[in-house]
Amino acid sequence: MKNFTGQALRWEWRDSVIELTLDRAPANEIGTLMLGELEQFAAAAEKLAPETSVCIIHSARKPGFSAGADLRELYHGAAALSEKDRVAGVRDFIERIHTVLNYLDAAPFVTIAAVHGVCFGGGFELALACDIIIADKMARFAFPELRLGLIPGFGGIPRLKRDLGNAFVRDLLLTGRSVNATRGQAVGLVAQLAAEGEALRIARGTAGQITKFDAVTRAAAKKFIKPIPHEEFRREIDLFCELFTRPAVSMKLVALDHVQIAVPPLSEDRARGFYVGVLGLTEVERPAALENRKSIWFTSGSINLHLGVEADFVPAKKAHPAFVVEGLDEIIAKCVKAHLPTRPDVPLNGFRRVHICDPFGNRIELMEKSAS
Amino acid sequence: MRTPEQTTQEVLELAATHFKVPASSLLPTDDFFKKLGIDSLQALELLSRLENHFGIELPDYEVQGVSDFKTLAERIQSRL
Repeated sequence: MKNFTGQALRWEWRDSVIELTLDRAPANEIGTLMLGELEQFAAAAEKLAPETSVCIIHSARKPGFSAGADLRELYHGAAALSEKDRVAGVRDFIERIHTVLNYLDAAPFVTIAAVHGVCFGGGFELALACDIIIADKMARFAFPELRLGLIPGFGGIPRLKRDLGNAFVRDLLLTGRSVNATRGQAVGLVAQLAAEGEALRIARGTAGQITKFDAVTRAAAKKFIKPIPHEEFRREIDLFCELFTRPAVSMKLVALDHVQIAVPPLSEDRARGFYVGVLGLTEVERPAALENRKSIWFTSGSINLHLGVEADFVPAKKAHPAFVVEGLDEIIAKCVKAHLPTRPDVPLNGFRRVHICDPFGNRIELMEKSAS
Repeated sequence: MRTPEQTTQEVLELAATHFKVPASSLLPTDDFFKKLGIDSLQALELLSRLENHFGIELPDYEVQGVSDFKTLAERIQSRL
């Protein structure tokens, strides 16, 4: 496929040059969407390889080449899983990325990363998989992963070490600092410096030169000078997965113990009517130590709900606890019968969701797993 | 050899040019995040400009927590 426009990127083949444009708001974060389209690109590039001499990768996003892996997506996806599934999920993602980057690294055509703005973490690793980096003077490179308790997981360390030796890698990795393109050129990371905004133009000029040479010689030369450190990649993947799923070593929040909701004075019976009668919670005795406090305690399953009397009570109309329930329709029917407001909300992550109010106007969200 | 005052003035002028505001509107004690309304990515752009202009490197950790031009100039001064 010589042309493709996706949601995270697009490419166009013309006169033996492929231009791959990363274009995913805000800053080309590499998540499952970008990864899927990169995989499509790799498959297409493999077919186009016999008639391709250069591939230029660049970004259409103002902030820069790429800000790195979409960690929010990675963590958010991982949070809902069991320990075993979390490990497998992260490993799968990382291995897929490695497959794409290893393809680029070893491709028979020359790869040029035309970099502007931020080129951090996974984005930096994408650039490092290319043969040549052309960066404009305002570009910055960084491995911020240590700040997050991780290491670069897309092959960045082995590739940077392959290219520049250990000291520069240590500096970037252990301090997490970003360096500008001028420094990059001084150490040999950046092959050519461009004026601000001119990296793509210079990359195209360089590509024009490269296309003049014999394809077979080029592919052989590239293979000769560019060892792929497979063993180091394997160790990096193992280490990354280990660190990603590691529980925090010092302080951490372990579990929610209870939620306390405010209720007005002299409301205990109405409260019981709702929390027991409608929601099906069971009232429990407060511990002797807390006998004097004005509160009522309920429980159900792993849920502990406390009601605290507040003299100047104001209902929580927006802030709310959310409970997973069974029999959501029965609860809604009871609310309707008790003239309590109910409002459905958009389903999320396979759950039906409805917001209701207790007799005092406090908002409560109820969720039930959708039958699938 | 620049004096701290000269350095501060150059920082202000660079920031003014980059973010397209009059240099006279910026004070050394201004918080550049608030005054210029910039985000962290734009702060990185300013960092690149400063590094290129003064011919130094300014590690991110040196400027973390710095938000006024005068302190920024002091950090730069210590690398000149």
